[in-house]
Formats: sequence, C-alpha cells, structure tokens
Amino acid sequence: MTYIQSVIPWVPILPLFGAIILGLFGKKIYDTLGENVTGILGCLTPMISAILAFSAFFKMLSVETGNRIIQIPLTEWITVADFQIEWTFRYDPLSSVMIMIVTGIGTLIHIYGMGYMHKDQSFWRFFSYMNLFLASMLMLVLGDNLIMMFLGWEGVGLCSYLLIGFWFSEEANAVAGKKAFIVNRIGDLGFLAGMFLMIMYSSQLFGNVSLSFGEMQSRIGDLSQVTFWGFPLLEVIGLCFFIGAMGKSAQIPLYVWLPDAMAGPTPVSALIHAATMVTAGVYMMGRMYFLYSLAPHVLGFVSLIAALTCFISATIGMAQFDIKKVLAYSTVSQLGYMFLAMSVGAFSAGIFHLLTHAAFKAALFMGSGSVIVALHHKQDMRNMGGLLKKMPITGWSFIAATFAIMGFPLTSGFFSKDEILWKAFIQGSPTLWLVGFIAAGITSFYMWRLVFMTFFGENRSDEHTWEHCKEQPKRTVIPIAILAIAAITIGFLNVPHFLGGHSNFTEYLSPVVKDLSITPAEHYQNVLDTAQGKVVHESHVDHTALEWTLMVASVAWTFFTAFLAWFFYMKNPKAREYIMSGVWAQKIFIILYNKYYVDEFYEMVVLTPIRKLFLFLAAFDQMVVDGLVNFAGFLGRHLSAFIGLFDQNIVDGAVNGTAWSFQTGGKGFSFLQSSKIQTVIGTSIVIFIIVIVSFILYIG
Amino acid sequence: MDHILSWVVFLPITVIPILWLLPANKAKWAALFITIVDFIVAIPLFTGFDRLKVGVDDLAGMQFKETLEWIPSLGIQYSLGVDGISITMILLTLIIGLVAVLASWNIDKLQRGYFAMFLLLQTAMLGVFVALDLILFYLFWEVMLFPMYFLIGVWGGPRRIYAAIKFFLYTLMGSVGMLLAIIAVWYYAPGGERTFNIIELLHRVQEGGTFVGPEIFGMPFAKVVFVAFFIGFAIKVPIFPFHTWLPDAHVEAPTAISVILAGVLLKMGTYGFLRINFPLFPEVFVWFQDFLVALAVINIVYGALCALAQSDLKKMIAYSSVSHMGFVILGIAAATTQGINGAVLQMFNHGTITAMLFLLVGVVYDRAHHRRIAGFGGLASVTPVYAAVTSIAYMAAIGLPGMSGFISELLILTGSFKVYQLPTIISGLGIIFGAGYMLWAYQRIFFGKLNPDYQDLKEINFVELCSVVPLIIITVYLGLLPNRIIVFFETSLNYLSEIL
Repeated sequence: MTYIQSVIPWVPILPLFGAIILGLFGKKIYDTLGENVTGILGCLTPMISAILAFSAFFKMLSVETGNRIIQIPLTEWITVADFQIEWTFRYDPLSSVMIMIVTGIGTLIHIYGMGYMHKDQSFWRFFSYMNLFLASMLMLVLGDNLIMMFLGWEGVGLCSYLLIGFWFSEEANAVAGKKAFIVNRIGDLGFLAGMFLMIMYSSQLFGNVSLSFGEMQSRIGDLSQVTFWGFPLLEVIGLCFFIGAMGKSAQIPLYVWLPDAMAGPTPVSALIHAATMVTAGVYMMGRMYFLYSLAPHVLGFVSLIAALTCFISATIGMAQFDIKKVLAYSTVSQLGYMFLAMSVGAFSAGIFHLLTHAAFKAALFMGSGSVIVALHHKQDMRNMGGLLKKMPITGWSFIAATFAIMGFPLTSGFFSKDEILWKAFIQGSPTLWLVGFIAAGITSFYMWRLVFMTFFGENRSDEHTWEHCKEQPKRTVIPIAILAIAAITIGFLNVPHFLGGHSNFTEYLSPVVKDLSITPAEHYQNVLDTAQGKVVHESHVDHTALEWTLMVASVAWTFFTAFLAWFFYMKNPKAREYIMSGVWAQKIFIILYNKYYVDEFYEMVVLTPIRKLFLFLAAFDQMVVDGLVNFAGFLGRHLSAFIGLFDQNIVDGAVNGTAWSFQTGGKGFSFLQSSKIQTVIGTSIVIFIIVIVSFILYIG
Repeated sequence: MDHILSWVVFLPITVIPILWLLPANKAKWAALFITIVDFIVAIPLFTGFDRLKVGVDDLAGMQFKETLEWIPSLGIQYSLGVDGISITMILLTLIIGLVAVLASWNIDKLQRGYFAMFLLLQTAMLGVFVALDLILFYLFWEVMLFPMYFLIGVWGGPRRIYAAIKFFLYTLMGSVGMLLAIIAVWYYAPGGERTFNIIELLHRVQEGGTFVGPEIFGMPFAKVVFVAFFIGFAIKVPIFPFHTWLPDAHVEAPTAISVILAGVLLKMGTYGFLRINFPLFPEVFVWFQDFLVALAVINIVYGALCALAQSDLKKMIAYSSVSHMGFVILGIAAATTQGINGAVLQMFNHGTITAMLFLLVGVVYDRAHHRRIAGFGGLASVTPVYAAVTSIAYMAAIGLPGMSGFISELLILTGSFKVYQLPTIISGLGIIFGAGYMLWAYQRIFFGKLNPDYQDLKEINFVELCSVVPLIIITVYLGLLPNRIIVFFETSLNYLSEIL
C-alpha cells in the first residue's frame, strides 16, 4: 500500500463524514457552540482533503510517468452474472488535477462561505450541503468506472438542487432548483443510454461487463468495429454521453438551467455553477478521450454546439444587468470554449482551460458576492458604481480576474484561451476559430462593462446603502485575493512551445489524455489506414508565424473591445445612449436582454404540451379506464337484479336454489350502495360455484 | 427447529385470540410483539439459506421444505419451501409487517379487530410466498382478500366502502380466472399423473412436457391458460389497464394498509409471474414477450404522467407505484439475467421505498387531515426533520445513485436494453417524469411561503421515525452494497432467466 493508495480514498470520504455530522448534529452544534465552530467544522474536512490531494500530487511527481495510473479497489459493488462493477478509485494525472481544483477552490470557497453566510439561520445546513457536494464531486472525478462517475454525477446534481433552492421560502429559488435537476435528468438519460450501449456490446463481444475506464480503453479497438442501427457504435455512444455533458455543463440547448441557478447563495454559484460541477462534462470527455478520438462525426457536432454556445451566451452576457447573470452567461460561454477544445481533439487544452477558468471565474463570482453583501443583497449593476474606493481588495482582485478572463497577455486566460483558438484554427476550421475569436472580444467587452459599471464611475446606489457599504471581513476577501493571484499566474503551467515553454501541463496529462495532433477526421482515417496496414505519413509543418499572428490578432481584438467598453461606459456614456436609441439597437437589445426568448420557447414547445398530455391522461384514466370498471360494476348490478326479479316472478319456485343464488348475487353486486359484506361473500361464492362447475363440465 | 416455515407463516395468527383477553389499547403491543418474534424466528431462514441451491423447478433445491398430505384423493398437499425468489419476498414481508405495525400505532377504532385482521393478512402474505402447492397458494391468495377488504372498508377514509369493494371484486375477478387456470393445469398436467405441486409441474415442463388440452374459444389451450393466469396476476401488480383499483384503494386505506399494499401485495403479482405463470409456459411467454414489454412501457410512462397530474399526495404515490412496478415488468419481460435479477431487486426496493413514501404521507395526514399537495407550502421551516427525512425518501424514489432504487432500475434497464433498445429508452422518460412529479410535489409541500394554517405543525414523532429510519438505512445500505441481497436470489434467477 503506497502513500497515494492509502490517502486517496479519504479525499472524498472526509467531506462525506463532514456532511453527515453536520447534517445530523449541525443544528445542535450551531445552537450550543455557535457559528464559528460550525463553520470551522465545515471547512475542516475540505481542508484536510485538500492537503491530502496536494500531497498526493507531489508524491505523484516522483512516480515514473509510466506508472502514474493508480487504481485503488475497495470492494465489489454490483455483481450480477457477467455484470461486475466495483468500488474502485482511480488516481492518475487527470484526476489528480481535478481533485486539486475541487478541494483547493472548495476549501477557499468554504472559508469565504463562513463570511458570506454570516448570521444565516441555516448556516449549518449550508455547510452540510457544501461538504456533500465536495464528496460527490470528488467521487465523480476519482471514480474508476462509469457507474461511480454517474454516482458522483447525480450526487452533484442533487447538491446543486439543494443549494440553488437553499433559501427555499422564496418560491422562485425552489423552482430554479427543480428546473436544474430536471434539465440535468434529460442529459442523464443520454448518459445512461451511452452506458447501456457500452454494457450491451461489452457483454456481447467480451462476455463480461466492466465499465472501468482502463478496461474500456483497451477494448475500444474492437468496439470501433461494431455498428448500431447502422451507425458506428462509438459515434452513437459518444453522442449519448455528450448529451449528458450538455445537461451538466450547460450547453445549448440544455443550458437554460444555469442562469436560473444563480438563485443560490453566491459561494454556491462560485463553486458549483462556475468552478467545478459544470465542468464535469468536459472532464468526462477528457476521461473518455479514447472514445471521442475515434468518433470524428460526434466531435464535429460537439464543435458546432460548442461554438454556438460560446457565441450566443456571450452575446446575452452583454445585455444583462444582474451582476451574477452576466457571470452566469459568461460561464456558459467559457464552457463552450472548453468543449470547442475537446471537439478538435485538443483535450488537454480543454482541461487546462477548465483549470484556469475555475480560478478566475471563482474569483469573479466571489468578488461579485462580496459586492452583493456589501450592498445589502442588491444585484443590479445599474445601482452600483464607484465601489473600488470602498472595497479595494475585492475590487482589485476582481479586476485581476477580469484581466485573466479577457486573455491579457501572460495571465492564465491568455495561455489557455489562445491554445484553444489556435487548435480550433489548425485542427478544426478557420470558421470555428473565427467564432471563438469574436466571442473572445465580446467576453472582454461585457466583463469590462461589468467592471466599469460596478467599480468605477459615480455611485448610483442610494445614500443609505453607500454609507454602509464597506470592505468585507478577511475571511471573505482573502480567498478572493488568493484566487485572483492564481488566476494571474497559473497560466505559466502550460506555456506553449512557440513562446519558449514546454507545455508542462499537457505533458503531465499525456499518460491519460492524449491530444490529437491533426484534425479528428484525419486521425480517424489514419487509424483505419493503420489497421489496414497502410503507412501513415505525419507531416510536420512549422506554424510559428501563424501562431504568432493569431495570438497578436486576438490580443489586439480583446484590447479593442475593452476599449469600447471603457469608451461607452466610462468616457462617453452619451455616445452609448445615442447608439442605443436607434430602433434596431433597441430591438437587438431587447432580444438579448430576454435571452433570445429560449425559456419562453421551451415553455411553449415542451412544457405546455407535456402539461396538457398529463392532464389529458389523468382524465382519460379516470373517465375511460376507470369508467369502464365502474360501468362493468353498474351493468353487473342491474343485470343480476333484473335476472333476480325475472327469476322470482316468472320461473317461480321451480328452481328455488338458482333463484336464491341469483338473488344473493344481485344484492352482492349492488355494492355501490349496500356495502354489506355478506352479499359480497355471497356473490363470490356463487360466481365461484357457477364458473367452476361449468368449467369442469366443459373440459370434462 | 423443524417446520420453521410453518412457524413463520402461522405465528402472527396465534395471538389473535389473545387480543380479546387484553385491553383494547394494548392490542398493538401484542401485534408488535408477535411481529418481532416472527422476525426473530425467521432469522435461521436467512442465516441457514444455501445461496447456491437453485430451486425454481428443482424440488431438491427448495429449502426448509415441509410436505404433508392434505387431500390425497386430489393430490393436494400442504407443501411449503423457499428458494432465492421467495426468501427475498419473505424478508420484505417481515420488514414491512414490522413497519406497518408501527404505522398503526394511532389506530383508535376497534383496535382488536384491526390487529386481528392485520395479523391474518400477514399470515396470508407470508403463505403466498412459501406455498409450493397451487391450491395452497390459491388459498393464501384468497384469504388475504378478506382482511384487506375489512381493513380498507372499516378503517379507511371517506370513500372506503367503494374502494374496498372495488379492490375485492377486482382481485376476485382475476382470481376466478386463476383458479380455472390452476384446475386446467392440474387436469392436463404433462407427464400423465395429475399434480398441484408447482415445482413438480415446472420440473416436468423443463423435461420437455407441455400442456396439451382442447382449444378454448378457438385459441390454443396453453395460451388461454397462460392469459388466465396472467390477468389474475396482472390485476395485482397492477398492469395497465387493470390498475384503477390501486389509486382508490391507496387513497382510502389507512396508512399502514397502504404501506402493506404497496410494499408487499403488489409484489405478489410479479412473484406469481416468476413462480408460476411464465416458467410454466415458456413458449407462450416468448409469444407474449413483445406485448408484455409494451405493457411495461405503458405502465412506466403512463403511470408517471398520471402521477404528474394528481393533486392528492397519496394518489400521486399510488400512480408512481404503477410506474415503478412497470420497471419490474420490463425486467421480467426482457428475461435477461440482469433484467430478472433487477426485477426482483426492484420488487424489494420498491417495497421499502414506497412504504417509506406512504408512511411519510401518513405523518402529515395525521396532523393536517388532508393530503392536497397544493394545500401545504413552506413546511420545511416548521418541520425540518420531517422535511429532511422526506427528501431522502423522495430521492430514493427518484432513483438517485447511492440508494437502492438506482441499482435495481439500472440492472433492469441494462438487462432490457440488450433486447429492447427503443422501449428501454422510452422507459427512460419515466425516470425524467419521475424526478418531475417527486420534486414538484416536494417543492409545493415544503418550499415556498409557509402556509399560515400550519405554523404550529408538530414535528415527526419518535414512533414515526422508528418506522421510517430503518427503511432509510436499508435503502442506503442496499444502494452501497446491493450484493448483500443479490446473493440470495442470484442463483435462482440466473437459472430462471435461462429457462425463459
């Protein structure tokens, strides 16, 4: 048992313990020992997990590259004949990165939460849910098989549901939570379908079902030979899993839940709906890169969805006034970038953007939360302004993170976004690059718009709020500052070769996530050719000049849009008002402000028909299906009463026995009024005797 | 101990006379005592059960066998025994019985009568799961109707009479056909010598014997008998379109009886499929399979959609039962190893989970005296413990991974996906709708503004917690380590899936 093997299981289990203890005894602890003890208890388990995660990582660095995939089997889980699933953790470069993100940012946000949730009635419940979330998320990234991943996948969904609706006495919050859960369920159906296909063909081709990632990877060659309903199996499976990712990672058309999810407390938005949970889909694609590298058509589809998501949500972000809504659409858009990277086979670039985005977006959300608390829970940017003077730490951290997200040279976003755009150009198409490029500019615009509206210019809030507005306590601002520093610096982990770096991050991931170096379609063709014994030529063209050109172009473009934001929101608001007064500008603005009416569209096309359907079915059930039953009862009652009468009056005493039986039967069937048990028993006996006798006569 | 099965089956009714020697309000203690004793007596069944023996159609593989001649002239025997399928159901029945006694704690009308009926019901249910003789099986099956009729009809809600009689006649209608089928099977038993012994009949069918009889209404004999059995069991499950008795019975029945109804009674139908109906006519089953899958999908989706529309909480859960039992049918219909194993696991899990749901409805009904979902609101702030417990139960019902319902639904869907891809995906919609009605109901009851009528609503009490918490523990335990129960029935069911 190595150090890593003994330590890793504790990483998810500790927060689980924390969640259970706080869930069961949290109220008692809170009432007797107070808020601080509860909060420290809540932060303790994530902190220990983080220490373990980081120490395991440094241990890992000393392990040879070839031995960096470590499986930690615990016990068997589901065993039915050839279907064998185990509780096994998998620690490898990818999961090591993920658990550091989750526990590291998780711990910071827990500490931040102590400040943010100060004096909240359900302080303990918040920490219990947050601990549970960490446990689930860690399970998701540490699970060695699809079912464990799904356990975490659903677990984080549950916590997201609980935390979005955390302040449940507001109906809207509860509705947002429910929406998130159900939209995610739609995606889950895709995930499940993919899993079923995998199971079905594993058991057909190999005689046993193991959904462990290592096992699937080794079988992928055989699976790629199979077709399902006439389509290549891997394409179908890849599509199914991507549908799951669309739900969890908020891609078009399943992104609608994420902006609403901002109803939750801001630490939740930072941790779950920006840094970690919503990136689960990206992680999943990275984890199964071996499948996606053999599914070029699905990757084409992913790139379409990703580019659309990236662009459309960025445009919506320009027209929002709620500070958290802007960040929410920005998150959707950035997730689009990650999928864009995945879709052109630049898997490590996607994961790297996941990492940098986690840092700067968490900082941005936490900064916005700090502002929101300072302004007594006001979120409308039209009522902010000039806050930098009052809240310097928050403000400067926020600005640092904004530099990162816009891709200011040498910040983290610069490295990660540029890598993606470059790969999109060279391994995707110039069109993909162009969409990403334009969206980058829009990103820079709406982020600076946010910064100028919030931190600069005149104060637009009321006198009272402005008076009481002050910088938040240390436990709130220090985590923001730490993340802001990270957002500026961590880009140096993956400096590309043309800038004189070594792509260390990509190298580190390479044992488990191998990037494609050519377009997915060409790669697939190469694989086919290799299988047929043809010699595959790999050409190495030097693109350094092109890389430099694109990089300079995007830096210039983001600077330009930042300048536009400055010009319209700081320098010359009149110009903005003038432009916005135009008819077309108004129309476009209203469409963007109303988010392209997507929610309304869903309401009309999906929800209303379903509502009508279930109301119709319930009525059908009651009127028709049950109506037939009651009608049969009615008929029987009257028929037997009639026969009874007929018998009594006409056949008379000749067959007294029969008369008695029918009469009893008649009374028995009048159950709807009489309710006498004797008549029921009578009826049943009579029915029995008649039926049995006639049957025996018949078959005899 | 010899005759352990007889002891387990008949222990509950032994205290019925004693109930009248006790003060009326002590009857519940006697009932609790005897259900606990019954549980303890049954422990050797589970510890001594040989998990490697198949059973099903092998008389030697049936365990804890007891055989006595009963009516020798007709070959009717008093014959009991268990295999993997029945032992699981015995365990479920004992657990649910215990929980239901606790759920009956607040009964204040005719207590002695209530518990007498209750214990009779318990014996009948246990009997159904251990009887190996068709007539004995039928006897237990019918005996169960009478206490059920009284329990709904006397201790039920406002429309109890209607519901009780509907339940009674509906089930009776099914069982008439079943009785005819039993006689037919006996009369035309393959291999010449007539017998009522289920295992013996199954054995002969496996040896290649078939039921050769005259055509009935122009239909082949085996198909008609199969369908007669099928309808009898299908009413119990219930399968669409025979399900309408269930919502009425549930709504009117007292809490404990709803618990038993959903927890155990419905499983008798699917147990009947597995024990008698399908293995007796494997060829007809193949003919019927596609149709059965269609019925299963209808049950799942239709039940879930109907549940979405309900305004009465209990009715909603009743329809959710229709939906969840659809999964059991889907698993059986697919007849793959995972499908059938999942189906039996789902029978157990649905038993425990739905029992929880009904217990929790009972809690709020006892306090508010109504069950309109829209009539509550914001309860989470006055009864946080109740809200927390309910959320766990609802999540279990939704099939959240880590809870037992997920495992069984996963197994069923993987099992059925191998043979029926499209129906499986459509059934998957049931999972989405399932989350829909559960969360929607939860939101309307517990979230939002507090309804001022329920400002002083009392928190869930100790006895109620005692009935719910063990079920939660079972649900979570089997979600994490489902193998602990799968091992009981796996051998039997793997064999069964081969012969179907």
